[in-house]
Amino acid sequence: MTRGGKREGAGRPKGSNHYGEKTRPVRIPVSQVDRILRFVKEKENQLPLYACGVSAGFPSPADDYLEGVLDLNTHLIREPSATFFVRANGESMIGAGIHDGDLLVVDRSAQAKDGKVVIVALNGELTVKRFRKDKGQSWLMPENSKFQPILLKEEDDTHLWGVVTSVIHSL
Amino acid sequence: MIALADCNNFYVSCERVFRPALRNRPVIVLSNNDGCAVARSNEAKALGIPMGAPYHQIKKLCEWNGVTVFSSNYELYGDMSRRVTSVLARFAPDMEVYSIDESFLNLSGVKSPLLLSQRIRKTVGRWTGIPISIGLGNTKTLAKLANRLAKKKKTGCFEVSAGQDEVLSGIPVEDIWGVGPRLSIRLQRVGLTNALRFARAPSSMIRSIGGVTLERTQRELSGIPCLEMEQVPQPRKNTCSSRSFGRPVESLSELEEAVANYAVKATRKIRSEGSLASALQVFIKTNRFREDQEQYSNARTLAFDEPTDDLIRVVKNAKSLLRSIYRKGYAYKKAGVLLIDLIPKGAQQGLLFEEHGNPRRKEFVDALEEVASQYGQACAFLGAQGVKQKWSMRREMRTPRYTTSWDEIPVLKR
Repeated sequence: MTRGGKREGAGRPKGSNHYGEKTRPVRIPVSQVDRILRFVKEKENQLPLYACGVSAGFPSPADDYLEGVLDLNTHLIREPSATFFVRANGESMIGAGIHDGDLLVVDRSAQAKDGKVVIVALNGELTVKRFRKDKGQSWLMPENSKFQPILLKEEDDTHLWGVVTSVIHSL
Repeated sequence: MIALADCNNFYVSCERVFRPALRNRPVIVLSNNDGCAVARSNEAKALGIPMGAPYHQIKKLCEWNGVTVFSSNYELYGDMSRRVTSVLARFAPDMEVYSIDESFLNLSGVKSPLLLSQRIRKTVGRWTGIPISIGLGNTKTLAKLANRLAKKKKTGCFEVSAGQDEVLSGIPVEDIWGVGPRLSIRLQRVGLTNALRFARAPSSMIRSIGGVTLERTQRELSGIPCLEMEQVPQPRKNTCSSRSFGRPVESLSELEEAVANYAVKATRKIRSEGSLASALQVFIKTNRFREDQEQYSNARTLAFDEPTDDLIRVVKNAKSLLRSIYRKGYAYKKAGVLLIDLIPKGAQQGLLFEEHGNPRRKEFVDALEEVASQYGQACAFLGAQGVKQKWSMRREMRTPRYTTSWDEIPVLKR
């Protein structure tokens, strides 16, 4: 009797894994495993956007031009870890296109320059106004003639909370 | 150079981001079921509210001093923690997330770590609204120690090196990372009352008191790195899901609901990590603080014939374990489900005569999990989990989930 060596027919039959096809191991640095798995998962969840309408029934010649995905997140959010959503209340910023109940995308990493629409913590409450700098003074400007501009004074308890980068308004 | 970035009074800081009126005011956050204070603002600390103080003991004090009290809002804290961590990761790709509010960053090769730390601190503060402190040292233990001192600095950053005797001598031995209360008593008994004395003591003496682990801590204090950065969290060996009930629970059917929910939660944890559980334990307890009531607690474990992550199987078995330990007539305070000896999927030993799991069941559970994760856990769940969940946790003073639920995002002032 021979000892050692190959034993014919031993082991799991070829192609009988639960994928039903041949598989191939891929090496990934351990430190990157989570990142890559997350990446693959995210991609799976995104809907592919086609370059032209999809015609059912026969393969579309457009399949060769699959253009990846349009992700609203990447369009609206520059810095995910610094981006928050808040809801507008009232009409004081109607001139800037901000209606009552609109969703505001707020980026805390953006610079609050003169003319930007900002979220400010004013006397302990969050509010949205246009930020204006004029002759060394800082103003919070409403965009509605029924409201008064607010001059920011040293003694006020104010701090800049974030910059509004988009308004999402449902029709 | 290693940096430890630690969020200041983390839970309180999370609440303050969305409630700016609470800046400079005393605030505390309570543990599950509004039991005890688990986070305190500096103003609350100044009022003498100790960490872990039971709420019923400090309730009056809080009312008199206008302390704002919150139930814990773990959805918010988890999301804010994720944000802080991802900002930190930009500055130091080699990092170890140590807890929900602490991360070690490897800053070796950085020319001026203190300057960078200040930039990190500023960026995290501006982007997320969470104030952090950064401690710097040659080893993790020194960085941790430096962080304690950084909290007291205006700049929020501080560096400690092994040679700074005057700094080390000002640190009580119990404040060293890795020296627990029991060890510190033994160290104080032999005169090692501060970090300097501890660092200078003969290593044989340290070893005889606390073994090699304590000796490693001593070497770290002298600036010799002994603890590596752990970038990938160590796969857990066990996972537990348990909570105290909002009110005492007596009936078996309510306990079954609770246990089913904990079983689902624990199974979800291991599924998300890609592990399988080899065994399952269920425990129940009465409230041991109620000395006027009859006490009972019990636990029972079952080993699966093959490691599993099958939700339905775990729930079924958890319920039958519960029924075997349940005794009528007690007011139960807590129950829990423990999944034991987790192994990574793919490493399991097959059964001789049975295929791995039932493929149809697997598909069903996967589909259920997908629906639940896409549309919310209220959309698809097992009947065993119950609908009303009257036993569930008390969180009466919880703030909205400002960052994780569309219905609860902050509403601006009119």
